[in-house]
Amino acid sequence: MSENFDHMEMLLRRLKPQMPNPELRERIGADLKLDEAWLPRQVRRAPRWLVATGWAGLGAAAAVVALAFLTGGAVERGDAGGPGVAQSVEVGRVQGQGVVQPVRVWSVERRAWIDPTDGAEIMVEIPKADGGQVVLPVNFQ
Amino acid sequence: MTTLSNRTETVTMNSEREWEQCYAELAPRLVLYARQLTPCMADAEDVVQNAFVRWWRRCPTGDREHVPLLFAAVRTIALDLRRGTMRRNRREGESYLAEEAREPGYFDSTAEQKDLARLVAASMEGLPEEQREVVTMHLWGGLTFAEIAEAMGASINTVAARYRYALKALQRKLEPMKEALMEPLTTPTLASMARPERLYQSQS
Repeated sequence: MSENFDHMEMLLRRLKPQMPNPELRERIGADLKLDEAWLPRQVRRAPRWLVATGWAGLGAAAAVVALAFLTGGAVERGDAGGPGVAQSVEVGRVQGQGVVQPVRVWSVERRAWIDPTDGAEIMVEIPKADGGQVVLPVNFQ
Repeated sequence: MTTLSNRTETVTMNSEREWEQCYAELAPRLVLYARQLTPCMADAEDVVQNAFVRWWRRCPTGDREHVPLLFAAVRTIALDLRRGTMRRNRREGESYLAEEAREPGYFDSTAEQKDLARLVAASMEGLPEEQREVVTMHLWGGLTFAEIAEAMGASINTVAARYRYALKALQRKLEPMKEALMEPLTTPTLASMARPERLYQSQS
């Protein structure tokens, strides 16, 4: 500001605003506690290892599906399901004849966690592969 | 899930500390500003409570660059409150700015600064509201003219002009005792000079 006001500004700045009532801090704290949606976004994020596992699982599942297509096997996908534990089964026919055939079964287990406080959802897919002999339906032969 | 909930608790605690730090720094300035727009300390604190909660929910990092928004929120809420109170008082036949509702207590004054604080508060009361707002936000709120202009929805030139007029007026009122005010404030002469009534008498 103009040099004429320098002394005046200095004088006025000596004064410090009055501290508010300590109750005010408590009231604001209570208000902020009522709705914690203001909490930083990273709270909703899953731990780093869980995210990495999820992506790895997703990649593995994609690889399994691609492999099944490439080997010419029949693929059947079950119901994806909602939150909780769901299973989708992919069946690839390896070889065999007749009703009973040796097959390899790839499955993907989905697990979902929902944080009830903010609705954050974490889903992990765990691929599995099992071999064995099963009776296939007619359309698979 | 234990890990996740533990983490949530940790983040909550950190965030609480953050808002408390931010509050401790800003609250006195905000209340002083809100006091310029409200008749009593209780109303000013209500306004600051509403504004701070809204602001923190929107800007939970408490960045310096968002502080003008907070002052703008204080302004909006104070003006809304005033409109509502004026409507109610008109219905009930009372005066919003009743003399008894006006309370002193703008500044946290030590014993040595008591007179200065009272004098400045009384001088501020004589200023137009827009000028009081600008002076409060700039001198004690730490906002630049550009930030004040943003908070008030006015141009920077207007804000600068209001500040200039306000300081001129304050200077006129405080000039007679400037020497005494700039000296150590324990001199006995100051106590006798720092009477707001005398200031107003000499002006009129």
